[in-house]
Amino acid sequence: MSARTFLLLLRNEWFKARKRLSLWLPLGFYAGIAFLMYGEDFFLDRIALPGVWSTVFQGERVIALFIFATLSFLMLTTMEFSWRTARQNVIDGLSKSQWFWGKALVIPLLGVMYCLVHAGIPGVMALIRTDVGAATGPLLPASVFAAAGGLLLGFACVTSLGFFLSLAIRNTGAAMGTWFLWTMPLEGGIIPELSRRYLHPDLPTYLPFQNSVRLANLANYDTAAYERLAAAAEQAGRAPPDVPNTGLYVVIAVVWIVLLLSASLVWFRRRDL
Amino acid sequence: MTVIETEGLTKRYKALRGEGTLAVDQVSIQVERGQIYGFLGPNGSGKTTTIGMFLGIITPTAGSFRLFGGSAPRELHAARQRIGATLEHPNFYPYLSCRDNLKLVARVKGKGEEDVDEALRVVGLAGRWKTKFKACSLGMKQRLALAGAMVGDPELIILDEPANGLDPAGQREIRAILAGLADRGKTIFLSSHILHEVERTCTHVAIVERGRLVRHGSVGAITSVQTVAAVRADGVELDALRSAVSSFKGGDEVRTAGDSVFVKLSRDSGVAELNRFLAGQGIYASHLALEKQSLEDAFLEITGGSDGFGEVQ
Repeated sequence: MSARTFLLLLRNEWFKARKRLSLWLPLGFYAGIAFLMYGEDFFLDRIALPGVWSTVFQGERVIALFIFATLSFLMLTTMEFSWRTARQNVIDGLSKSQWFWGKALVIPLLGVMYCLVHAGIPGVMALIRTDVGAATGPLLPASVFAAAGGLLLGFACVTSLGFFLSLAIRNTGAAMGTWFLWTMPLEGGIIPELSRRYLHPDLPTYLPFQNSVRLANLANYDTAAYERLAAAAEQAGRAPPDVPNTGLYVVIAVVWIVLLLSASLVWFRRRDL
Repeated sequence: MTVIETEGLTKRYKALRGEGTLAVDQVSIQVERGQIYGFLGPNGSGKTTTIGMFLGIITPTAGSFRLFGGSAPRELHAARQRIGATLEHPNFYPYLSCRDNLKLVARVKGKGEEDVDEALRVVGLAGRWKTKFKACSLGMKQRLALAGAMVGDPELIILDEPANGLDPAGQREIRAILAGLADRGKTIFLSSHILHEVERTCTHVAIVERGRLVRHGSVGAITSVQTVAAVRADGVELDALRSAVSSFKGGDEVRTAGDSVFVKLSRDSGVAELNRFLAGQGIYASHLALEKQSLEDAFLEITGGSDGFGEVQ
């Protein structure tokens, strides 16, 4: 497929998505959550640039983003089967592969939108509270862009899992339920516990959700941020965090994305619409 | 030129246990350019599955098909750009307006907005283009589906039950639209339950039952298989004539209407045999002729009034 075809597919998907509540409602909710998360610090004047980025790009802070964005993506995809519009799109002249790649292009589109909300809201709040003239370093260091890239890659990884489930199950509720089941109880507890007991304790670090959460840490891309974390841990009497191996995290995420998208494409092409 | 050609097209739906369901069994048809081809069959006879296979949404289990002479994946994809189709119910985005839905269709086909406006005009939805699909009546939805199939002026139009849910006036409009398309040389492949509509609209028909093709040909050829004879005999009482015809072993389903007695002849008996039999009874027919069959009669005879055909009209 040519770049022109991809552009056409992206335009079509945006045309469909821009008028859907399934896009704007979860994004609006997530924006509200972002306001609440940083609101107290803003009103107490405890937020400023560039320090805020360590909080913004911190593993736990991105979990809500993954949940809301995946929910939105699943609804945008599975409803095409309920309405039978996926079938009609193919009847109208799209090949199955084109339909698939059109939907796959929604992943980076949603990723950028959520990333802008995720970083934009605290960024603007922090900017308001920052004495720009007194700042010693850059307010928007390069490491922030690297962390945003990591966040996008992690998002693509967890949403690819959602994509696979939505094409396999073709039902929003069931696909979302299975995604939650995998990411929360399975990856978050059962698999690590079983691995620790019977397999290898490091195995869970290779799983898609855990790896994606870790990819969004600013400490992966900013040595100073890592040193601050290590110092804080030492002060608190805890062991320092593991030295980040960003290259490995990226490779794991890319491998998962390729595997999940390939499986989704094969599955989708083989099944009748 | 052959527009659609299928050869032994077969689809078996798998089941976890057992052999599964044979939805389409060795269907071979040919649709030539300019034909209006009716595809008939009772509910569940495999019409939609057959159409779905050449539209690329259902993978055949066996057999092959060609569209505009091409059968390779790339050729089929290119051929589908020349087809406008709607399958089963109208399938559109409920939150989008009629016009936005057609804009999407036009983009997929690489056509412009002028094609959208033209299609809306032809189906009579030009004044309702802002209406969201979810707010449309069934009739409007059917018209929109027809408009969707017409966007970009395709060479082949495939319609699955296009008049479903329309009132008689709506059905007449759809028939007029189809006639207009046929006049412009379009090839139309039409699956329908409404047999008199098909008879009035189509040049050729294929009849499928339980996934198998049981008859195909021109409408004239299908309806010319005449088996019902009308008998009149001057000077003979109608009841006596009926009684004599009823005793004829080569026929059944005897009924009277007006001054005539009608009898359905078995396949191996003809009017000459009936005439000879009546003469033997001392009755000399003043009129003895085969009645012209309607497509509905032919259909019911071919399918044996098959179960599942709920809406013979």
